[in-house]
Amino acid sequence: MTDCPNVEMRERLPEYLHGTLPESVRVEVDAHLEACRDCAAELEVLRQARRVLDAVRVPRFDAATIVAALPRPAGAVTAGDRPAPLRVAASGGARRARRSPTLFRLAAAISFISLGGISVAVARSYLGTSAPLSVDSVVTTRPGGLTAVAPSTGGTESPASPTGAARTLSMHPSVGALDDADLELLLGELDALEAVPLAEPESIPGGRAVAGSFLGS
Amino acid sequence: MGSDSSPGVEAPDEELIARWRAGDERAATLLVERHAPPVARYVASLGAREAGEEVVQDTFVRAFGSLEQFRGDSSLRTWLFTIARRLVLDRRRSRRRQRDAVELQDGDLSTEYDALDGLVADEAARTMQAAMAHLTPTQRDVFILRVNDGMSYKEIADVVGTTEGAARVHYHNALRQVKERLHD
Repeated sequence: MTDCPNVEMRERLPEYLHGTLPESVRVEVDAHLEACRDCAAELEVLRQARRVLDAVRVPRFDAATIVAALPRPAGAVTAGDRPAPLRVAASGGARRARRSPTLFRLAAAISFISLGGISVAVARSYLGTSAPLSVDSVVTTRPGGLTAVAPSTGGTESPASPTGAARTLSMHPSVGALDDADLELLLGELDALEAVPLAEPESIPGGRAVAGSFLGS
Repeated sequence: MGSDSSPGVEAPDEELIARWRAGDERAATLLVERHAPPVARYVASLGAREAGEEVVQDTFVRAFGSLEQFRGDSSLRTWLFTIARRLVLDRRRSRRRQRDAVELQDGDLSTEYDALDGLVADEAARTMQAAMAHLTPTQRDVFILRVNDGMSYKEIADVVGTTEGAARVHYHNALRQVKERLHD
């Protein structure tokens, strides 16, 4: 068996075998095959090779098993794979997730004010001065969980030398305007927030405890 | 296999991939049903009779695990064949290492190709089987992809990891050797 010198025609034989040639090209190959014994013989070799390869035992597979094993794309939501609701914590997460955003905003505001007050107190304890407070009020936590707001000192009092006036906490006007029922409701919600830090404030070496300084004790 | 009248069965691979990324489980099923048979045939033709089913599944798991890297420069079928071939070669190397054999090289495996053993009855087919078994692994791979799967040289080059020109040379060398053996 010799090779046909028409390389272009020989290159088309595998596609001819698979029936993937455009119709016009297939007609050309048909005509060539009628006249060229070498290409006809080569096509028969390819057919035979394909028949032999068709006899190979193909491994069995189960499409459903393969699909079940596929890694799911990130961020995709499928009917059988919906993400669990977002949980804030392992316990009580569902309860917290149902809270209204207003409560979270209130908690954030209280935290912000508290941190501001603590920052001022820390600064003052380090400086050891009686510099006037630059904030109108700070929030403290007193035993029993009742939240109150210390009034502005107006620069006349220092946590380092508390006076009776400083020890007497008075309600912030916006809180004082609440009636008993509203106050109870507010306190109940604040208690439910569990926003009180779990850790005790650390003592500063050579200084006083932050909370103690802040409370003037 | 799904029915031909199922929705999306005629959708192109790219569309089904996009639907799968969006969470459409059915799109993955269509892709697997479309491509698993040729992948399984190819795996078998490489001589991976042992754990062939596992290789087919691993091929899809790996492909879908790195779909982000699939740019569509080649067809999904070509990409799957590339992964399947790599898996078969990895397993073969691993098996050879376990047998304290030498590194896998062209020629070493010419007598190891047993995908067709005992499967062909007539003399002509047995002769063809012997002729293909004497090809180097790369020649045989290229020959199979061209004759059995109808791939273009470009696709073969992607699967085998060579150039289009080299794939063409491998094919014609393989064809010449097969013809010579058939007429010895």
